[in-house]
Amino acid sequence: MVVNKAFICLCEDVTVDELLAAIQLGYRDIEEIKRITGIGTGPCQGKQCLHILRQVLSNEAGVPIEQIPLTTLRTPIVPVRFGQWAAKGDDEEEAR
Amino acid sequence: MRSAANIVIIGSGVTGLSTAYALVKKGMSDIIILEKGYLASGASTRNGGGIRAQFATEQNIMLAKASIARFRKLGVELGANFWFRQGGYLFTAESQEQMEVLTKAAEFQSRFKLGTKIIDCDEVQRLVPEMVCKSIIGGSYRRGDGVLFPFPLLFGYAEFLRENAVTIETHCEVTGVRRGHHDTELGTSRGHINANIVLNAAGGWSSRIGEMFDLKIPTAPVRHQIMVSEPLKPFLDPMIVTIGDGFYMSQGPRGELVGGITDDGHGGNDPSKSTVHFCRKISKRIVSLFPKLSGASMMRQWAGFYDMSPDANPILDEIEGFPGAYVACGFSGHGFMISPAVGEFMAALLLGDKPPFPRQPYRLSRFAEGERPAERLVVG
Repeated sequence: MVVNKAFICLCEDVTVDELLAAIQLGYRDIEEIKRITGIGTGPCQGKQCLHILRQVLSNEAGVPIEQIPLTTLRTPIVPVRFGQWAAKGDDEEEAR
Repeated sequence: MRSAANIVIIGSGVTGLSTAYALVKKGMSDIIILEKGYLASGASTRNGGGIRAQFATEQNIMLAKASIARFRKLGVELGANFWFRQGGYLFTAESQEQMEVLTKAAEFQSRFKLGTKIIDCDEVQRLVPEMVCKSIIGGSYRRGDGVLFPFPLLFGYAEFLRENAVTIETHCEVTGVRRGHHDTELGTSRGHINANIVLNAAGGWSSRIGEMFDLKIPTAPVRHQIMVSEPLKPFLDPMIVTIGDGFYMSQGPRGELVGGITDDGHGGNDPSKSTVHFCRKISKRIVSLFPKLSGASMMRQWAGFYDMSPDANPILDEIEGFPGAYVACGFSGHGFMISPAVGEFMAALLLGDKPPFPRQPYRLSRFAEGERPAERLVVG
C-alpha cells in the first residue's frame, strides 16, 4: 500500500502525492519529473529517492523499471566544502 | 502525431514556449512544438536564473527592459510562482579598465532610463557586507534586476499552452526540411509534418537546424557550468558579478547559492559532462571573496550551452528562401532573461505584424554587412 502523504525525497520534502500529480500531468521523463518536483536535487543527490521515484513511475506508467534511466550523475556525489575544493593541490590530477 | 499544423516551433526551450504563449494570447491556435529531448532540455533548464537589463547594446537592453516588466506580471497570468526577486545586479570591477567598461555601459544604459548607478568600493561593501572587497574598486548596480527560478516558469508555460490546445511533442527530433508548394515539410523521428509557419528556436542546436534550411547561422554552442550550494541563511541580496573572470553568484529564495564562472574550455564542450576543474576554479573565487563560505558546501553542479552569436546579440529574423520560416537564436547566455519580449517580437514577426522593436539590428544579414557593436557584458 502506498501512503500518499509519505515522503519520497526527504531533502526536498516531496511526497508521493506530489509525484503522482506530476505523472498525472503527463510528465514521464525522469529529468522532467526531477525538475518539476525537485526530487533528487537536495544534499543526498538522489541516492535515497531516485529509485523510489523510478519504482512509482514504473507502476504508474506501466513501464518496466529497467527502462527508466537515472538522471545524469555529476560531481560532487556528496556535498564538498568550498574550502576543500579551493585548497592547494596538484592541478594536473584534475584531468582524471 | 499530427501530420500538419498552422505553426510549428522547433525547440521547447523558453524561446519556443514564450513565442507560443504570445501567439496564443494573439488568438492563434493549431500550434505544435517539437522537442528532440525532454521539455526545455537545453539551456532553459540549465540557466542560473539571472534577470538583468544591464547590457551594453541597445538590442539586449530593449528586450531585457521590456522582459523585466513582463516577468512582474507573468506569474499571475500563468498561475506559476517562479519566485522573481528584484534584489538587483551588482557588477564589480577589479581594475581601472574594467571600471571603464562598467562606466561606459552605465552611461549608455542611462539613455534607456535604467537607473544604473556607478558606485565606489564603500557602496559595494554596504550592499554586500559579507564580501571581502580588497580587490574591488567599484561597480555598477541596478536595483530592478534580479533572479528567478526557471523551472516553475517553464512548466507554467507548458501547462498553460497544453490547456490552450498547443501540442508539445517531446522526444521528437527534426531530421530534415523541405520546401513545399505553399508550406514547409519537416521530417522528424516520428514522421512528417507540414507547416505554414515554422520557427527555429532550437537554442544550441539552432545552427544545425539552420543547415537543414540551407541557411548558415553563425552561432555555436559553448558549454558553461553552474554550481549550487547547500541552503544557507540569507546574506546575499543582489546578484554579484566580477567582470574580470565572469564570476557570478546569487542566493535563491531557499538560501542556496547559485553561481558560475567563465569556463576556459578545459575538459571539452559536452554539456552532459562536468569538470572538477570548474568546481575548483569557482570555489577558489568564492573563498577569496567570502572566506566565511570555506565551511559551506557545494551541493551539486551541472552544465549547459550558451548559443553564442558573433556579436553576442540575438538573431531574430525570417529565413530567406523559405517563405513562412523564421529563426530566433544566438542568445549568447541571455535567452532566458529576455524571453518574454523575444516571444512577443517573434509572434509579431510570424504573423506579419509590426514587432515592438525595430527589426534591423536583429537581422541575420548584419554579420555580412560589417562591424556592429558587440555585447561586452557576457557573464559566466
